[in-house]
Amino acid sequence: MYLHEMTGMSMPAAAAASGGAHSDHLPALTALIYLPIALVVFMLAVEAGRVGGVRLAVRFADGYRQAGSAAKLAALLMAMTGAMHLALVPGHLAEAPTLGVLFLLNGIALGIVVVAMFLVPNWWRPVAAALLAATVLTYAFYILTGREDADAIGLFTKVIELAALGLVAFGSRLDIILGRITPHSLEASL
Amino acid sequence: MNLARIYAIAFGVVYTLVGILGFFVAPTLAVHNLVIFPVNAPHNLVHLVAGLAGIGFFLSNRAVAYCRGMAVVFAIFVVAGFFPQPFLGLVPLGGADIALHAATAILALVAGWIYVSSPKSERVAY
Repeated sequence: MYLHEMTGMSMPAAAAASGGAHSDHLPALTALIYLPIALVVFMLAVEAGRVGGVRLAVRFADGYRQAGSAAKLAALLMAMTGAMHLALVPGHLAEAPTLGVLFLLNGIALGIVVVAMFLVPNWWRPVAAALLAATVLTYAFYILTGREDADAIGLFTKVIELAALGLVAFGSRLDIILGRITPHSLEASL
Repeated sequence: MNLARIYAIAFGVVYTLVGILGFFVAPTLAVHNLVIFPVNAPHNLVHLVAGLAGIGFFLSNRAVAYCRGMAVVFAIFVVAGFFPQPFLGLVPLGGADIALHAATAILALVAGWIYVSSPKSERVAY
């Protein structure tokens, strides 16, 4: 259901108020806005666990420390799209249960991959790439078959997922480039 | 673990995107709701500047300075949120924004001052 249908607003007014977004998709923006707070609190908890000697926290912290910048940025982007998908679950379960379940599974899977990429650094890359590709292709299938309308938030999350996919696929090269140009490397070279 | 860098990149990327998205909802001085958050063009501009600064400070290994700046600026925004809105007739900072800005400021305080135990932590390369 679109915002203008819910509120009786004219189409242009509703589009202006929601940024051309499907009203069912607006909770995704709330999740996105609160995500940095959740992430920093999570990392604080990991650090507290590491200091306290919790084995899983120590392993996660070590994996995070050893990961490249591209992997960390990919993790952030996957956390963003995962959180946005999870926020859409309650709204979609009522109207389109299949889609709601897909959002739920996708959000959980992305969350698992984000955590696993720092716990088991060896296998996360192909799994993350497959998951992101499947997510984008599923969206494309839903749009092309008319099961879902393309809207700003949906397209926005696909841009995030494609960026994450690029980082997963070519992240190692990016790390090399970043390693060459950051002030840290300049400082080290001096 | 360098919490300041985590803070800078997480808030930097998300605030940049929220700033861009905000212009689709509220491109003028008129206040519109971005879901539950009142925004307008100056508010979106602040998000965009804060976000781009976060990315810039992250890349230049000066994340602690960013966190300290965010703690001060967003603490001021929290106080301003209790004044008549839009604040100074320009920027909406009340309603749901108050809690969000407060959490942003508190975490910036933790990452920029409380957590930083040594000046060398800024030089950790991650």
